Amino acid sequence: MLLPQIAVKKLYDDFGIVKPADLSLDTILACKNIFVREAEIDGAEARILMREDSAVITISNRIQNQQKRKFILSHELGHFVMHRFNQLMLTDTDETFDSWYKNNFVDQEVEANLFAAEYLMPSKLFEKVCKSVCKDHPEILRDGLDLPVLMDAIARYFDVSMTAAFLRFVDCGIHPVIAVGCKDGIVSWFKWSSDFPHYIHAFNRHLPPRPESVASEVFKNGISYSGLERKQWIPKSAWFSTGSRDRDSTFYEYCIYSERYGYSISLIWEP
Amino acid sequence: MKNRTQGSLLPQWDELFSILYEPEALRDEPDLRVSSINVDKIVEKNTRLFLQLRAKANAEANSARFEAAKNFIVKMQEGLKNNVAAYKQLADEILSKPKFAQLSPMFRNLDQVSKSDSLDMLIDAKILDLLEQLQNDVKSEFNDDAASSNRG
Repeated sequence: MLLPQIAVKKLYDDFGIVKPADLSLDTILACKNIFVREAEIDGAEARILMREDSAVITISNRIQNQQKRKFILSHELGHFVMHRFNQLMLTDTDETFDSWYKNNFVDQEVEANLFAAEYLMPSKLFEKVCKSVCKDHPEILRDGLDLPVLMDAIARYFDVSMTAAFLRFVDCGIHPVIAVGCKDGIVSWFKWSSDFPHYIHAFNRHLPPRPESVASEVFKNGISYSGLERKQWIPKSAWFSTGSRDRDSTFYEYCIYSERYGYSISLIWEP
Repeated sequence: MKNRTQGSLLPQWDELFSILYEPEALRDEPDLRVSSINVDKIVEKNTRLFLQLRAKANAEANSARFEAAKNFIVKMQEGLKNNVAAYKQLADEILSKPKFAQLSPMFRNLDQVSKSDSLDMLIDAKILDLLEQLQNDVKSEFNDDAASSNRG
């Protein structure tokens, strides 16, 4: 088990909870003596100032989405639980606080994200919920996996954003899948499940998605598909390179798009 | 006298012994092991509920201190806005690099720490001081109460 998973398990045990809905995040934060305030922040989404047994989280008042707010607060709780005793000293040779922070705290940021994902969607429970949703809605498994319907149910059950549900689904490795994020029409990151290893070399980061992909269409038209149309057929070559002996088989793509942030995330999987 | 006292306690010891060591004494009690009730599950569930209730009570107690901190923020923001000397001095002190790092701040999606962000962190730092002070006050009040009840 990784440190964030161990930390979440301990937190759950200490508070006598088995799922996030058992106790509100606000109660846990207050119980841990963590004061939360909203303020205008220029250069970050949130920050936490910590002492041994207390902390202050300041979250940007621009964050209006409650699910995003919850993820951010869980992320900061992760810092408090895992990192409050790590003191890395800033020296006079460090140019600015920003550069010092960026050079020294990358790992902690990743750990805090893993903590938030595990806290909001514990891996074992996540797997259980996926199975139970598929059992209750057999149509999800008919005609290839219907990920949009499954993702809706998961996001609703855990009360998280679609983005968080997408990434957790990839993490948990329940079905071979890859997630690709695009910002302003350019591929900015991708993440694949452990059982989806064959195609990762094919991605071109910092380039626009290929025209056959749904992401490309979404950026061109400024709208994403809705309802039953969310699951779109695409040729494998829309995202992956195909070798000479490789036929251009069919894949699915489900793309969500935020016009406000110029951001899209696609889930791509085989039928 | 000594022997009589010891003698009078014997039946009770016998009774206790029989309860502890002789299963016959439990014959009338329902045997939970053979019934469908899972005792471990019930104990586990109630332990969890107890922990949750305790967390809620602690959270409520801390929320009262948070209210005091909120009032402080308003005063502090006004002080900084109006350039009150005491707050200005505090700001200069806290914005020196080593002090700033001692606060061990961590950020979410940090791009840069602007001047106004730094000033706002001063408020965070003062809230931490205040929370600590209020906690100490509560502790000493509790200790005083405990001492006076012991004397009583």
